[in-house]
Amino acid sequence: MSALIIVLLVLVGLAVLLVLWLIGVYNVLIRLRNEVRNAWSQIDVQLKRRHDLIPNLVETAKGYMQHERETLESVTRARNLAAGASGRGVGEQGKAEAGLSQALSSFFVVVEQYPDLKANQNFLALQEELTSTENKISFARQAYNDQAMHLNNKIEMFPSNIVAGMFRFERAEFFEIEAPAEREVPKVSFS
Amino acid sequence: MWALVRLNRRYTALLVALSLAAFAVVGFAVGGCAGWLVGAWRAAASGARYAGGFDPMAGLLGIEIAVVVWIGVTVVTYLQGDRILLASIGARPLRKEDHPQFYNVVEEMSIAAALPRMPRPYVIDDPAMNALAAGFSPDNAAIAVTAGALASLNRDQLQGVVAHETAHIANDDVLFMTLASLMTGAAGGAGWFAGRESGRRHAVRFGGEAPVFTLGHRFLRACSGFLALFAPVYGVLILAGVARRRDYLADACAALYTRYPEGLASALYVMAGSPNTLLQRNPRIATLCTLNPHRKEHGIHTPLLAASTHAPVKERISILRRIHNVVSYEGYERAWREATGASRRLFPKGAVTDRHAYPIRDGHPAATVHDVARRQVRDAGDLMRGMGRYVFLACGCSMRIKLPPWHARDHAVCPRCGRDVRVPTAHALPKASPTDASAEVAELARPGKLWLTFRCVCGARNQLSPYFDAPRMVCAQCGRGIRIRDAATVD
Repeated sequence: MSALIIVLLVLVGLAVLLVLWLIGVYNVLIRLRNEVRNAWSQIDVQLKRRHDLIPNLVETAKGYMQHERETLESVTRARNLAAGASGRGVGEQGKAEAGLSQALSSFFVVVEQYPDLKANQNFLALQEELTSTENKISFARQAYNDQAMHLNNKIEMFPSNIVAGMFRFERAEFFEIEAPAEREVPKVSFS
Repeated sequence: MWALVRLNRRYTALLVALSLAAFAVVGFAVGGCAGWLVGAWRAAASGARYAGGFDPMAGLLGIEIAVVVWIGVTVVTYLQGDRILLASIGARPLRKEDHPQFYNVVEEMSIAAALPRMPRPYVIDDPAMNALAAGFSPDNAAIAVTAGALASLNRDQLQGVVAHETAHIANDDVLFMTLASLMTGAAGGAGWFAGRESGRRHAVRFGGEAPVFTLGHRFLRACSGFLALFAPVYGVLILAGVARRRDYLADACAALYTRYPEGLASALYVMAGSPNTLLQRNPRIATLCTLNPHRKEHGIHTPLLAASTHAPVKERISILRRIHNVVSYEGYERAWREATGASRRLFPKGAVTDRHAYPIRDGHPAATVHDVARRQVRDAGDLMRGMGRYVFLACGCSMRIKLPPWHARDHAVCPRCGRDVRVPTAHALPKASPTDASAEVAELARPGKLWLTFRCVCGARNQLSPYFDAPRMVCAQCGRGIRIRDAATVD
């Protein structure tokens, strides 16, 4: 009789421990997921800011760069693509933003040929804002990717992967914004 | 958790405890001696012989008084210490529109360092080139840069300097450094040096008015002579060698935050090469600065301790320039060993757990063009003049006239074309009734929809942009309502 009670008590104790462990792991997963979301919102703010700045930039540059309509249009197009991609998942947004970054960098290369535009106060202010926004995106990206890795590790590693599977936690996507051109080996030509 | 950060906390606690002990000892000695003197004086007055010597009971009373003063100093320090410190060197809070680049850089670095809150940016009205961080915790700190530094550093260099200061905040160095500076009476420096200041030559100073001294500041100033007695307490801790390592760690962090070690290296090079790194208002702030303001070549007496609070600049530059391809703490330590020839560890084992390594990024197109560099100097001057309530006037000959706040007349003569230019000023309106408190009390005649800087009745500088279209505004300084009359239609 007493042996049965002891066995029962042990079983109940084990069950309680299991439930406590479940709660613990679940809460850690939730905390990590919220941290990922928070880190993402930091990036999102900067991305929106970049989308808002570009129409002003194009408007300012238009008057000086009549012969560069194509460059300006490609910036505008990339900007609209990126703005349209917002809310469609981290991976897709990263691709669109990479395109925008590339369009912007080729725009700033072209700007070098227009000293009048470079002396324009309004343009300089916009350029400073854009530079700063790009920096903020790249610094915030690092923080986001670190958080995403923490969450993914927790979701995939044993034994927390059991809990993650039970409650359908999804892996966080990494945010990659490097333009494809940046990864290529630079071509040096001496011709 | 970083072992070095923990060390900082321990040293801070030690500093507080040691300062309490030092106060108590001095209180005991002064109280005892005072008791002795009073006893002897009383005995002499009554004609009797005084038998007693040093009075331990009076000494105990002295301890009590000293402890009360210590509590006062500590509370004031903790509540508003960083603000007092910044006021004592003439630092002014900076808004984004005053200097977007500096503000942006501070914001970027606070994101890179993952600070819970962006540090408050300040600009110090000083031609010297230096920077400092102050505050008591990562979520309530300030970064101050001199106008001289803003005038000469390009974006990457400024970013490097700000990153170094941000690292001091993220590593909890500011807590110790701010406390130590205040505890040794550095904040009193403004009071101490106020007298000497008038005799000094100031190359570039646009101060409109003296910084506001709060009650707490007055209290610390009153105690400053007394506090200076305890400088040795602080010295003991500095000699323990934490200060230099702190600087190296902040450099390593700065390289990591910016991913561009050359930014900080070249900034240090430029700053060390400038003839002036001393903060004129308050040289005693040395321990907080990026560069040691007390240098031999200036012919200034170098305090024994100040020399050991800073790592040699040459060495810091050569370490930073030895970092190649990727930035990481390990890489910094390797570069340090190469540069100094040391074989021991720079950071204690297990102190640095961060294994991140980032590729070094490209430099920002530098402001090396002469034209841009000149504009930067002018902009920094205008920033300080703007904060000093100068009025900017545009003359018809495209000259920009800058009038100091003590220019009292309504007109100014353009130095280039000799034209008479009117200073836009809001004039006080007669009150409709003495009880009418809320109504507009000033009126401004606006010549047209252009940029307009004008002076309010209170003397504050306000600015109207061409897009400002409302019929009234409120003075940013005194809160007066100002009615705007369109003068263009009248003429």
